Amino acid sequence: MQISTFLIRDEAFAINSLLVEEYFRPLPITKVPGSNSRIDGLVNIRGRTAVVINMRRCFEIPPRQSSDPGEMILLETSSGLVDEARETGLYAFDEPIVLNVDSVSQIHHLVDEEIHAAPPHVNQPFVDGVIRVHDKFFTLISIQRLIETVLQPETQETL
Amino acid sequence: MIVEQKAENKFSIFNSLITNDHREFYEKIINELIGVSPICNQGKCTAAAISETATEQEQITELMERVETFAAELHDGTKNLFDQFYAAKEDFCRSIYCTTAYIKINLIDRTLLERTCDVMSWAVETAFSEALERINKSSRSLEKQLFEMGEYLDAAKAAFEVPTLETNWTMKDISQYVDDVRSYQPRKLELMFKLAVYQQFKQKVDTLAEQLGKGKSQEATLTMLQKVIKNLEDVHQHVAIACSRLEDIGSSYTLYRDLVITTTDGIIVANANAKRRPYVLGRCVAEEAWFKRAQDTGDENDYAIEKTSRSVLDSGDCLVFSTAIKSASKGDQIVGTMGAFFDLAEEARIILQDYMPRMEDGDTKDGWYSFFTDSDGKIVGSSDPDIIPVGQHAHLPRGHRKLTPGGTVSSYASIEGNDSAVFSAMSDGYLDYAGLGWSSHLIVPSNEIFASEANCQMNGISPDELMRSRLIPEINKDTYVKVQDDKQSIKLISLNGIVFASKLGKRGVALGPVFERITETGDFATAKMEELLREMAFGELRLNLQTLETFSKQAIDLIDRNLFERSAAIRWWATDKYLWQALVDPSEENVQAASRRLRDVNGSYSMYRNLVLSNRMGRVVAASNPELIPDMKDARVADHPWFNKSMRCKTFGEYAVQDVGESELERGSRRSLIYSGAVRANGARDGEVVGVLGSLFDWVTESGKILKTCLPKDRNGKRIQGCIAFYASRNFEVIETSDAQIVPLGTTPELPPEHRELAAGQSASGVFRLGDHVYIMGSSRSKGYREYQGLGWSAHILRPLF
Repeated sequence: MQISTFLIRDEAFAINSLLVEEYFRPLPITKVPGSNSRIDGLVNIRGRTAVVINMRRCFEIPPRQSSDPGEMILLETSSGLVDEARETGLYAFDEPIVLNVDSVSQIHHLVDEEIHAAPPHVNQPFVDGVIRVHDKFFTLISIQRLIETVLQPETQETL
Repeated sequence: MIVEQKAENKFSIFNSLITNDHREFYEKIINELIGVSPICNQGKCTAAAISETATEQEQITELMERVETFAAELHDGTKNLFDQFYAAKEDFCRSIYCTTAYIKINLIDRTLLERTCDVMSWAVETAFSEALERINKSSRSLEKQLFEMGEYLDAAKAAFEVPTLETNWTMKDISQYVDDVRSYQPRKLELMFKLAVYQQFKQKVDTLAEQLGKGKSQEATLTMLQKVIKNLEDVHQHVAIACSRLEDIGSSYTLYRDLVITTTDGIIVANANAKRRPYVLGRCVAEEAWFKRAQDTGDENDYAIEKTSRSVLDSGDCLVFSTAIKSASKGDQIVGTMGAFFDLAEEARIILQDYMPRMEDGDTKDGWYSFFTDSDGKIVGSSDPDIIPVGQHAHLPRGHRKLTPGGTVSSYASIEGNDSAVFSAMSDGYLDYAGLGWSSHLIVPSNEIFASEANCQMNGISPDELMRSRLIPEINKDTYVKVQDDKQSIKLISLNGIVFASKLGKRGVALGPVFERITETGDFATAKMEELLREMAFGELRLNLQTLETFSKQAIDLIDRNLFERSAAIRWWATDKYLWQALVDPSEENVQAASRRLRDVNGSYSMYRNLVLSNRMGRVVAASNPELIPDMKDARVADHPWFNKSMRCKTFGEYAVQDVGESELERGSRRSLIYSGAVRANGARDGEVVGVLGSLFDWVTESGKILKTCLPKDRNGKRIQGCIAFYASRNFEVIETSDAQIVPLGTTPELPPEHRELAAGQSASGVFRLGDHVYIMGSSRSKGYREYQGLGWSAHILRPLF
């Protein structure tokens, strides 16, 4: 398994690399009225419209300085998932989703035993566990639960 | 040549100025970047081998091409960065070192301007013209008297040669006595100016007179001899008066080797230096240029300056300021000249050795030289005469030998076998003093200009903060942003590549190392460039700090020199005849004469608010500007520090200072700095103190002017916004400021310890946070000037970072 890591403030997070379609510099965001606070708005990536999820908001971290635009991660859509991803049962949304993060960092190869359950005090529903690579720890994010929490709160409520 | 740096003069690794550190640096970056191309080719081949579709292959190939483009851009960027790096240093060094060269020549000019005022104001003292007139008159009559004396002596001798009973036995002895006295007949000048010769002569005359008294009919000869003696007595008395007055002046103004008064024939009749007096008086300077030019000086405001190294005064390298002395009674008649031998060698030494980096043992660093040349290109002063010898033509590039007034130039040249940068500035005089057409040159080893700053550390500021500051030129900031941008681009390309490869599954494994390598190269190159930019930023910071130190040093030096002049002036004035006369005998007439004298004196200076004469009881007797004193009629200064300090002065030539503050002698709350000197009865050196003369220096105007000249300017000579200059007293209280809003008068700013604990003459610089503002600051503490000790003040120059 490969993970893609990124920073929010000085905390390191990770998602499965197979869920990344592309990294790119921040694009101008069009705000959408009435949308919830964890959504920055919409961006246009080569003709495709994607919803931007603000990761700082999701983890209730204060916003960045306005001079720092951060970086963006475009997630794979369900139709773009490679076979390997489908086989391992990875979840992808139907529409393009962009994660707005402080900065993307690296890609790591993992072996399973390095994944640990999230510590009990972590109550964020979209944290899947903690990954240790050498002496660094990364919080592994469940994209499925993130999207369910942010984009489909009513689904969450019914659960 | 630095001056001819043009756009096409691009970075080349072969340029001898590039430091070895940077060559290595450059090589490393270039090697890394050169490695990118084969990697990308490998990537493209791998893509062809593993791709299942044309789209896949295209995607990989496109990624590779983007990497190659970036590598090429980074290569250009690196060269550009080095260009900027070296150009920035050259630019900055040109500005700071040309300024330093100019400051040095300007210090000389300011000193020389004061000197021109000196000689002109001294020459109008009536003591000198009166003495000269008496001496001239006596000299003329002596000519005749000595001739007549010969005849009388011959007659006397002849009378004794007729043998008589009473005289016969003494004739031989008398003849000897007559011959003794007669031998002095052609020694007029010695008799007039050599006290020892005159005293011998007088003794001989006395002995002869005793013998003659025994004879008959010798009355006429005796009378004749008495006349000669009386005349000579008179000459010596006036020589003594003139000498004593010159000594008074000389002891107040220690920057002169000697001061002399001559007759119109060029005979020195008086001097200030008592040690040299027996060798100097009676000597003739008729052939010396300064004397010839002094005789041509027309009105009161005319003077001549001549450089001399071979005067009969044997004074070494001096600048002689000279002017004619005119008769006090007979208008325009020139009765003699005054020559003031300014100690050029010492003055040049002080200025030239200053503003130079020193080694731990206090010596100037090797390869650094500073010297002045005159309008012929001859060296007139040198910081190291063994290597840059005074009196010879300076070996300088042509451009440095044909400067225009106020102009500066810089270039590279080999000086004494060192690759050096030469910075020159020509004098443009100061105020109404035109200068002597001299130039100041500063030699700096080139390798010091481009010395590596890689390990530079600075307390109080982070590299990022520094990079964003106003110190860093826009062009460098742009480059910094560009490098950050490139760094991000490379990262994103590589990561996308890796993600892309990972999705190819097993097929993509071969691409992994390619992208890893690209990431490494990109990181390395951009990190190196950031390092270079930071080095550049620290270099910029260091030079800026150095500039602020130089300016703060200039600010404190200028004030020290100015105050030295004030301390010299007060000592001289306090000996003035009109002043002690008014105090010893305060008749209406005498007091008015003193007031007039004070007004005249003050009239020839622009930096005094008032000159105030007080009697020993502390009552103000006279003032140059009585209208400025509140309640002049009843003004008392008995409890003023300047008065009390001077009343307590024990020795002649002492002065006292009252530090900057408010004074009751000023209306409102105007601040002044008061110098004072004791006035002694009859102007005698051991005379009783009969009162005090105080001079109220116009501190606010004068210090404000100096602070303004020391505010930093940008490379185009425009004043940099937001800079502040201030003086702090011994207690770190602000006594003058260029920005009363941010650094108000009377406050005590929290200076960092290294700026507070400066020894005399020391400078420091660093980051200084004042309220919400962040500055860099240069500070220097007063070291005084010559025997003037300074008041322990410091000067501080601030430049905002944001």
